[in-house]
Amino acid sequence: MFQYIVRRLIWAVIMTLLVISTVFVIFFVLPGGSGRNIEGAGKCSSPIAIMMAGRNPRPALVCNIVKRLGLDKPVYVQYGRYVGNLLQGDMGYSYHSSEPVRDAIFRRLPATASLAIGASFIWLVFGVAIGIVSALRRRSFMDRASMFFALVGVSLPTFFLGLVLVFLFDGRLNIYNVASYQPITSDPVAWLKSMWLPWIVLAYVSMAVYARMVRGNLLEVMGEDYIRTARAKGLREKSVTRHALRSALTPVVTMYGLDLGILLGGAVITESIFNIPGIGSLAVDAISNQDLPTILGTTLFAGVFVIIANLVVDIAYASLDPRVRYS
Amino acid sequence: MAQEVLLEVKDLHVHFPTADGLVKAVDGLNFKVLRGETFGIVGESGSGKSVTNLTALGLIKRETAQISGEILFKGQDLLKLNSEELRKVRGKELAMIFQDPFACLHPFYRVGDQLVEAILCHEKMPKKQAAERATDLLASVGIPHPKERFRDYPHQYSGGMRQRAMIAMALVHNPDLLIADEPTTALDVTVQAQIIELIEKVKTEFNIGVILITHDLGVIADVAQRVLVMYAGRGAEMGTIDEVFKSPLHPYTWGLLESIPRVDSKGTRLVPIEGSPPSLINKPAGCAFHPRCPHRFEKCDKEIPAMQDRGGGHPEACYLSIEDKKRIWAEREARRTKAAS
Amino acid sequence: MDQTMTQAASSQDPSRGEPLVAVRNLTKRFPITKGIVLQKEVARVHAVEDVSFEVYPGETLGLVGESGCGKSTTARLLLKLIDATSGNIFFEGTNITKLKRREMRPYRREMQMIFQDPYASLNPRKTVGSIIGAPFTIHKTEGEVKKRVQDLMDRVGMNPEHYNRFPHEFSGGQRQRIGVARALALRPKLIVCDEPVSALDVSIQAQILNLLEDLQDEFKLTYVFISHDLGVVRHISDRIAVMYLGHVVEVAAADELYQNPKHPYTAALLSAVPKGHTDTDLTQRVVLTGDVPSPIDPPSGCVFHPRCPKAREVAGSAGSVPENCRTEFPPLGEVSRSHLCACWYPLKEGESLQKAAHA
Repeated sequence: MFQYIVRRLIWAVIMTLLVISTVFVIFFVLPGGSGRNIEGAGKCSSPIAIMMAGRNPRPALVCNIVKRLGLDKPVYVQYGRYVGNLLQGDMGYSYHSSEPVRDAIFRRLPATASLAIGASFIWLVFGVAIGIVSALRRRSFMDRASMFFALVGVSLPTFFLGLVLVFLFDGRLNIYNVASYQPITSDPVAWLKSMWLPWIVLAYVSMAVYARMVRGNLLEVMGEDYIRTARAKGLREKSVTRHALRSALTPVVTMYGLDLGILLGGAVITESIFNIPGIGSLAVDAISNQDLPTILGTTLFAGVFVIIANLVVDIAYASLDPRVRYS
Repeated sequence: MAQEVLLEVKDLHVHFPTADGLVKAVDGLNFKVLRGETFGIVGESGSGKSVTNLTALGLIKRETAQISGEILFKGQDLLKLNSEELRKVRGKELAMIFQDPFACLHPFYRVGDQLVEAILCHEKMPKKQAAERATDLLASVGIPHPKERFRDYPHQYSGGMRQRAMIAMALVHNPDLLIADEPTTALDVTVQAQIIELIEKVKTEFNIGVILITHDLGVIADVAQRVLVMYAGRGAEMGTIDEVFKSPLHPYTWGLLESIPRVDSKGTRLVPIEGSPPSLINKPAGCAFHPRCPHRFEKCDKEIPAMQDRGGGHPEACYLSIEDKKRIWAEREARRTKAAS
Repeated sequence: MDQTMTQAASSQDPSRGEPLVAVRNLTKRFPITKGIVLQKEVARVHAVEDVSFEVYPGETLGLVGESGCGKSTTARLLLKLIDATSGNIFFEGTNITKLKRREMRPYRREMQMIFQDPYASLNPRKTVGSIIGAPFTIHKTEGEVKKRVQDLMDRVGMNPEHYNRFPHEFSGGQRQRIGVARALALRPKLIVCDEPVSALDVSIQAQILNLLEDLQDEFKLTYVFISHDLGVVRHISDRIAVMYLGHVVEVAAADELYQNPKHPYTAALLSAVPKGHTDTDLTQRVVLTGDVPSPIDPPSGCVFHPRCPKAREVAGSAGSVPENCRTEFPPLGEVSRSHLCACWYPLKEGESLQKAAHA
């Protein structure tokens, strides 16, 4: 088991390096001429520098940027500097706000985390519960109703559902206020008031997916030979169900970990609809502002979260399934 | 013989309604199993041999099946018990082992814990005591290093060991009747021999009854005292091993015996049964075997023959006269020995 | 390279002419790798070890053994579905071991395979006609494909009118007939049958076995027949090779092998088979103890020595085995005419293992 964890850890480090390098290549090496040329910039006409310099920059500024970022140096030197800075937690400064990108991301992390953790908690609890009840009372009214509800869920895109609910609750019923996000630390009640609708919107699709998955898994497991064995030895139905759940819910752990990891990197659509100042909306803003350091920072951040989630899931899975642990 | 009747199945019908029609898996079945004997049930897939026993254990969902008849276990009709009463019998007085030992143990729980669980669900005792009993049982079914093996997971066991563990699990409460459903089919020949020997040992040691369900006539002939041949949900022939294998009276039994390549003599050409087993939804009228039977006559597609002794010494379900049966089997035997020499 | 074949073929029987297939020192080891970036080989599954045998035209060679003995791997090596680690395969005297895909093509049509699970080996979305007819199009044989397919269907005992049906519309036995027809389509010389009747009910099994025999007579086919069912193998085979843990331990004519097994493993295997309606006493059975060892870490010397009752008898105590059994694998040598056995202490004529086991 220890070996297994070490192996997974090494993998995670390698994956992180890969993500960092890929991002480097995409943002610094690949961009060719952007079509804009700055008169008089001469040697300094690096497309990245021009992009970073903003609209109609003076050649001196571009040259300055090239020097500061070392864009005139060979690629490997640039790469070394870039990785070195990252390791010190330096992701550069936002062109738009001049704030360190790291600070911008961490300032916005609580909003994204509130959204992701809250929503994922809702979909996990309800999705799994609905799935279990549907499977155990198969073909009942309860089962059919929840599966219809789930089918609607998987067919509804988040942006559509979000916009409809905003229109309904904010526009018509006036029981919700878009753009009212308050951090939990300053006012927990206001925080809750601002978060409940985004949670529902974000949770609904996943809840439907989880409910269907749990139901399907459980029905499949209930047909397994070892469940028949459990019954044949005279276990109470409660214990039999426990045996079945142990197998049926293990894949849910994997899926939940990965989904949460992805969300922590920013829930772009939901954050935008509800005007939640999270990492997703930071990324969207950065793209529209051509704010390269911030785009880079959010991309890396999301990537790292997915890697961490994978790591956690792998370890959790091994502790649940002895076949993984002992191989 | 004044042996105790452990299980008596009377006119059992198990039908499953499906979208395609009513599947008549078991359709009027009668047999008895005595204490201290190994009772073999042979038949091909779809003959109803497994469904019968799953029904006895209450492992067929009553909502999905139409069940009628009686299954008397030590005088008590299992079909009349509610699910909790049935659960108390299951695993305690009536135990079952299945075909595929690879799939029959839960992969996430230690083998020992699965045994302990089986002990504790019928008997209150401290967990430690249950664990000791489980370890003893593992040892008694021939698992080496039972203490260490207790803590292993099923995937760390070989196929033969898993089947041994399954047998240990079936024995935790000294059941009166052990139902073994194709217990050796998934195992290699040499391991199969070990498991059969173990089941035999257990039967004698605990003086229990064993129902051995298999498609392998060789296994049956080696270990069973009496045998029931099933075809399409009904009994075709029932008797002692010698009666059924030496002087069979039913054309289906003849066909089975002649289709099997023998290990002990260089076979001549096999005589297969023509056609394939019938659909359980649209069974042929009359005797379900008649479309494949080379000896059929007018009566065969009119009425279902009852299983009874027609003078041949043991019950069978075929309309041919006893003289005809003896003559035809003698002829078929003669043809075979002639071809072999 | 043709020389190699004759040289190594110590066991070759001159009276039977040239073998159709000859296998020389065939070895297949599947590597087990560990490591994160650089895959390091930590162990090997010894699936097939130094196997040599030949198959003569028109005969059926049975390949028996328990699961994991390497019989199916041998079949796949023979058809070059996987590549051998070492050793050579000769088809009609030509070494086909190293042939490239295109060079292999003319040989492919001479060697076909029938699989165990008829359903899994048939594409459920294709009609029976196109499944059986596929080889014609692959190998660009012109002619009226449909007519030839229907002839084939008729030949294997199917209704030719069912040309447009799908595999799921057939029973297990009928599906296996489809598999047979497909293998037969290009009139191959060799058909490797990998447990072709194991998934079928006994009454259907007999139909398929008879069909295979009829086709062999009609088309002069040569079979390599793999099965774990010793009754079936005896019935259909002319000669039988017994495998244990990747090694061929005994080869002999079917009757000779069953009546007069020389290798203790063969004897134990045969005694373990339920004899059915004979009056053999259960106590005469030699029950081998333990399971087949792992092919990842096979025992030293003779791979059977840890379970071998005969070795214990020779050593004179239950706990020990002779030195050579532990240290050296016995060569597959002729113990009597055309009867090969790989054992340091083969059973003598009439010697029964039961006594050995109880001594």
